[in-house]
Amino acid sequence: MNPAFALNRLLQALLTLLAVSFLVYTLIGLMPGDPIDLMAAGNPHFTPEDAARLRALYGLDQPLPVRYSRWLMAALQGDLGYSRLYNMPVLEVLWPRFVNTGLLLGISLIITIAFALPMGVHAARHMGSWSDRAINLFCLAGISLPHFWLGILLISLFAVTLGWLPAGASLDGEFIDDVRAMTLPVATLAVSGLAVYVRHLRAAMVDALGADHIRTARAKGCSTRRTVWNHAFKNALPPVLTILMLDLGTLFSGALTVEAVFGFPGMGKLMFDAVMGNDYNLALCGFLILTFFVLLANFMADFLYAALDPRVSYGGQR
Amino acid sequence: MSRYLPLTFLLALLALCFSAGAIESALSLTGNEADLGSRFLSPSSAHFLGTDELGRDVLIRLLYGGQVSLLVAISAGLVAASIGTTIGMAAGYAGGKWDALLMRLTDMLISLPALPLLIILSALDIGKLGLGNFANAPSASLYKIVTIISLLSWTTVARLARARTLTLKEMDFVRAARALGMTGFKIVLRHIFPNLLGTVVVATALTAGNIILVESVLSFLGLGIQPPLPSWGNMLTNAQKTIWEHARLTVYPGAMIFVTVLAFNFLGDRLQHKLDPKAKNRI
Repeated sequence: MNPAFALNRLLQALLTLLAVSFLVYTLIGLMPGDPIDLMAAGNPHFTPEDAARLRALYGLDQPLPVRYSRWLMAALQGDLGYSRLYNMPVLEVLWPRFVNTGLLLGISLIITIAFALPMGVHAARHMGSWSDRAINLFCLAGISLPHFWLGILLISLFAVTLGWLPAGASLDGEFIDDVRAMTLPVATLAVSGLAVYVRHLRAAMVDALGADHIRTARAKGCSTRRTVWNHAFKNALPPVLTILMLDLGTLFSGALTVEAVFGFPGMGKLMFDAVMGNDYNLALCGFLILTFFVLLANFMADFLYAALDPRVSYGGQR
Repeated sequence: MSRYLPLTFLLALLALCFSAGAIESALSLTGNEADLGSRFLSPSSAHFLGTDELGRDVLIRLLYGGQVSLLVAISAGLVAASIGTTIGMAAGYAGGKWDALLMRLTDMLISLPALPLLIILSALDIGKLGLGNFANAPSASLYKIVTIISLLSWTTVARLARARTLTLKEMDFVRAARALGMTGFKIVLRHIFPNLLGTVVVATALTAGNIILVESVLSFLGLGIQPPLPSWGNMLTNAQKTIWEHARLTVYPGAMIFVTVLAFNFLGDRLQHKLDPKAKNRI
């Protein structure tokens, strides 16, 4: 990996993060419910002079660029401010939620991949067969299915009708309870992601299986199993892994929906509650942290691709 | 399956939804007014799909909700397609620095976590933009959602339009036009645009399906179409609240979303196959 290229990409990612933070900070100003107005609403003795004094105290009377640069300076020193809704520093509110979302996404991703691998490879090997068509149809249905509706249907089947699992997904620290609570959200996310990965994997495998070296391998008597997994799959993996990394933003979106349906205490639910409860600092920081991880994943995807595929090098001389 | 089924289905759905008012009065049902005496009725010959928590006929509400969902999908889809085509053609034809800049912007937008951003955007108070009375109109949530969704949905169209422009730019007829002294703007309008229309239509069909999904999620979360204006998404919000007593109500709106999005995706798939029969990565 060429260090100049890496530096360039890193700079680009940081610039994006900066642009996004400024954009969101500006947008937050357009949210309903000014914090000073909220104070005034709760206190009958609040005079306009009090409001003006408080605005000056908190620097809210300053123009936008000044306010933003102050916020940025504080944020760079690790001070992301307070959450109005939870009365705690934002980072303390965000961290446990972030861990929960990571757990939810991680487990469902493992399950998705466990199913996507055999399905995608099978479809690519038997292109045009009835099973390939069935898998294609499944994928088309999968990308057309609203995730939150799938969640609701699972609730109505497993919680309401059968009574096997809880409908909500609040975590209480008891291992068995938590596993039961997470089953439906994980299943919802895993099924919703499946279609997308199967399609990518199938396309990559079709490409890999069509290469000349596959024919060579078959001609010299290589077994089917070895050809598919050692020769073709190895080449299909880099693009699929890259897509997986680039897809983190979509994963977060999916998690948000599922968390809202099940009341799962994760980042998505937190951001939703923050927006609904006029806690805009929390919403802003939550969004920036999600964006940070998305950019990090994008950045790493480039390296991963170069590491897995020796033909790829970014601007370096070999 | 008939190759015209998706399009026929969508047109029929459109016709049906926009004659909801006529169907309502013909069957003397109420889709918008509460009738507390007949809440949660089971399906019967009077109410084909039963009634909801306010005694409104579910079928009629589904049709009214369809009006909104389809209207959002079509209008946001068209706006997104126009933005995407313009940006894609500009980037592809101008090349160089403009191309790099516009495509970086597109990449950035694609990589952002879309739904969290949409949630922040849809919570914005458009009253603070100084639009006056407009912001308080009952249909304001409709305009807002169309604007927000189209601003984030043009990326697919832009990428495909750019790729197609790059190919078209090097073709003989475009080079001939350039040699004859045609201006860049005219070449793009007369020669490039008509030739990438097919690609744009495919991408728009797929985008429209996605828009329905996004709109339904936002409305479900209470940030999109605001009740009493029905949409398939906000019907599901109410249905989830009564899921323990009347799980039946959660099925219909979701099924409508699913089938409609499926039809848009099939339509896109069909059109793509028609344009490029050799395409191997079909959806």
